[in-house]
Amino acid sequence: MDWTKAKNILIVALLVTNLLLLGAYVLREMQRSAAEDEDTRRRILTEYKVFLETEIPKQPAPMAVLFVRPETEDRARIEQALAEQAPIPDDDRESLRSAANAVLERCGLMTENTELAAPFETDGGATTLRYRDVFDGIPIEESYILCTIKDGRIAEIRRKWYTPLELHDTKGEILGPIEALLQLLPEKDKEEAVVVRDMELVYRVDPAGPVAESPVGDTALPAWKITDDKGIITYVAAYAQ
Amino acid sequence: MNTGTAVAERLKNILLVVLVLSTILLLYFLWSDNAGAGFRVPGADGGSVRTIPVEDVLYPERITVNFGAENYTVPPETASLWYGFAGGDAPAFMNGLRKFLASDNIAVGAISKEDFLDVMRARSVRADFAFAIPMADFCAAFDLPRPAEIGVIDAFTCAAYSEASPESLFLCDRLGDRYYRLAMDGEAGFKELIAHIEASDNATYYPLRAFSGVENDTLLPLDASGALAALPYARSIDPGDEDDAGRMREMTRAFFGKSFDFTRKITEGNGTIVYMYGYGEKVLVINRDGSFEYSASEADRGSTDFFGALTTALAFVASHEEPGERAAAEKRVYLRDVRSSFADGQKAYRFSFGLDIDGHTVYYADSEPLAVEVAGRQVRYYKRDMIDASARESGKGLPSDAVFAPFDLLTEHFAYIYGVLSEKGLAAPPGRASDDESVFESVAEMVTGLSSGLLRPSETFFYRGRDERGAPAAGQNLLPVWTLAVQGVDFYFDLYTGAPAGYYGE
Repeated sequence: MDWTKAKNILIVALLVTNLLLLGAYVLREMQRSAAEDEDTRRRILTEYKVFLETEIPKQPAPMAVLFVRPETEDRARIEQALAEQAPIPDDDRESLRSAANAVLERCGLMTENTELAAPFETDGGATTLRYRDVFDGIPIEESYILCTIKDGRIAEIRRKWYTPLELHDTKGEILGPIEALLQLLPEKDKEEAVVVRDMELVYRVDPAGPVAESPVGDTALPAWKITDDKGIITYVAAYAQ
Repeated sequence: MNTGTAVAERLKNILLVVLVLSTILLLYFLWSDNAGAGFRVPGADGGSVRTIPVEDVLYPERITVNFGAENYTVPPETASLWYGFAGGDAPAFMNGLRKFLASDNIAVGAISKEDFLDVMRARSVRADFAFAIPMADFCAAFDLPRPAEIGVIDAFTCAAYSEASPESLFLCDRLGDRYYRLAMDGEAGFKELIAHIEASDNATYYPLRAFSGVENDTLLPLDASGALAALPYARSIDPGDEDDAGRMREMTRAFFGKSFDFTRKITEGNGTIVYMYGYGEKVLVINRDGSFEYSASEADRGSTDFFGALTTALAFVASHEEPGERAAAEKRVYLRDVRSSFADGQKAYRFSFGLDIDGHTVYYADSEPLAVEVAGRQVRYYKRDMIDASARESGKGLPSDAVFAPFDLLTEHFAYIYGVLSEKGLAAPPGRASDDESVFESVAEMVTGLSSGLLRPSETFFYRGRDERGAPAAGQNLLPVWTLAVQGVDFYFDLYTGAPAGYYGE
């Protein structure tokens, strides 16, 4: 057997094989990096019939978890403040806001994180003012005060509140908004169209956690809050895995 | 062949090797989904994983030696008698077992329980485990020869040798009620083991029938294993103490790794802290008293055998100890129970551990110091409720004759024991006609064990001396007790006064 010739043939065959393999690998990597391109992601969303009717938020900076304290209501103090309130002279928005703020101040419920959300909700003869809990410009979900005004008086105050305590000292990378929307796809019916009306980054205390009898501390994690045209809200955990 | 051609051929050879290797590498990159992430040169600390050797925790619950003439002993050092830590050819069960299994000509046959008990009445030694060990896995784990003849033995709970049949080794599975006699040519060296134990200073045990007249072979010691006083104990870590916050953080981080900083932390009003990663994929609950429980729902579809699961469990325990725990010289953790289960086509093992402090068993009654559940190669449950205490100074100066005589526990408290068993439905309610003698005999027949040690009172289990809140009255003290096992219920009695200190059992 001519070993010299055989070696030459083998070297050529292996070179060709390696070139093919290298080509296939480079192609796959290019496809992968292309898939990460935002335009491609938007195209994927469109393919899955996810349409955006809102401005896409910017890529957020890294964030830390927020330690919070679940608050309980001082019902007696609220009832007393409601009993002692002065009648609201007018039913314009400013008057309602001032009256609600005054009562909340008296109850000790107005803090630097308490912010009036818009718009006011009206139902029959009642108007409800919704206050939300905002830390460092980011709302804390499921943390609110509802102030119901009826017949020129504040009729009811309901509150579920997490007081922000401190941020963890370590920050983590946050999913980009398009990446967050891509997280919706695996559970979505491909043929059903979804119109995203609103999208914002929030802090959220997961209500699905272990049942604590009397929690005195909890943790709010960053999440993307995605609201569709039917008003359905979906939360996507925002830490990039 | 001239020099130039030779050099060219050599270069071709090298090129061929390089091309073949690069082909393999390219195929690896192409076929592996995540080759970039998986292909790593091990870092400096990448290969170091702390673990606990299996031999440190797996040894018989008790080794019983019959010197003949109803004269028994139960030596406390079961681990060294099983493994022979002295090394070389020191008399040890494992050495005898190895020699036996390595012999050329082995015959295995099933025998009856009666035959087994009969042969053990002669001068003999037996080692009993509290759980069944799969025979094939055992041989593989300890590199023991595995002759084809022993293939009929699935698992064993007991290994025994009797001078009534010196060419035999007996293996039995009490839980499966199977007894085997293995016969070889020659002797396996267990005679030396019996002689070695006989030459040591060991407490004498007698069968209960020698005291009571009822047919019960349960062995009773004549005395306690040593005088003991109530022993204060403590946790090495206090979740409520600000000074321990750093160590707490270090311990907790070990469970969650890099994701710890992004883990949810819930603090309850009673001091319990819950850490949760993801949607409950990993949950760690640290109780106010320093004990903690961890559970993980991440699925590992792999399978493992008894020793694979035990090794996984021990590595997990070693890497998740409470930082700052005392040196192990005072404490010894041993495997006390193993339970296996099948769920979703996967076998899981639950390992429950016991604790000795300076050679004294610590009775947790309704709890356990350590438990690990393993499915595949994944730890899915881990519980740690360890304590720190030193018994070395305890009991010094106490007269050993002050210890309550073990047999008197039965004669003084048989009615109390019978009453508890009746309440639990484990014994018929005492009828009007039943006299003390028949009640005593009923209780004596049901006794399955007696030992001494330290009882850790708990809030949920009945014991004397609890205060109004149900918490231990005398602070955190381990109480010296006798433990009498009757029909699966453990009755605790004060070591010195013999007063009932509580009971626990199904």
